[in-house]
Amino acid sequence: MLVQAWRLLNVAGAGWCFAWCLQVGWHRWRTGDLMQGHWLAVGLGLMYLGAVVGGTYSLSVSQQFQPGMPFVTASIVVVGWARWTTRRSERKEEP
Amino acid sequence: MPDRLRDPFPDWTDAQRQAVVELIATSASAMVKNELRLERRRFYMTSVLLVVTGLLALAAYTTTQSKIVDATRQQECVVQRLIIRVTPLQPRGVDKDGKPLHYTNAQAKQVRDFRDLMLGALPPGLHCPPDPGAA
Repeated sequence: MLVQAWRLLNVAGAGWCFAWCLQVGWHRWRTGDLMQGHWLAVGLGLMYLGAVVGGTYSLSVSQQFQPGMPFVTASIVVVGWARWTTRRSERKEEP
Repeated sequence: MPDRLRDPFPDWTDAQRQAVVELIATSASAMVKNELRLERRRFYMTSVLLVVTGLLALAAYTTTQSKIVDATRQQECVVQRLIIRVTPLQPRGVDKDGKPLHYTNAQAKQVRDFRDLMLGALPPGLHCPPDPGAA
């Protein structure tokens, strides 16, 4: 049950990361400054899309702990932290 | 005096010159600060992206590796089941008088030795679920 909840959280977190990466990529694309780093963000977004699809499929076929789960959680935490600090520094720079 | 050393603004006062120098210094400082800030942010974001990519790669690797181990164990269990099925310790069927078949001692030893030989080729410590078709 706990593992299932953890997996569900991982899928939801990966979905959020995918949405954020997509939003960053799309915004930069529209403003015309899609730099190398932002291409990385787009690639990362695609990886999270894979994690969402794979995780959803995996949830439907297995109830067991997968050894990749802690790494996915850690990556989501890192992305969340980066998002938080970026937003905080953007707020500081606003006049 | 060469042209490049000649003062281009001979009618400027010292105060005007000082003001221009300060303006240039302030602008340059602001530009450098801004550039440094952008560079720091780029470095930070790239580091984050690299760390996250590494973590995702590790997740994919460990998950795939465990799937390979599971699949291999499953195959080994299939082989173990097959060996046990084709080397029955009691012969199946009946003789022409309708009595159950029996191995001679030599036959029983041969079958057991052959089973042990085949099972010995499988990795040690293999734990497989019971064979539903064994009965």
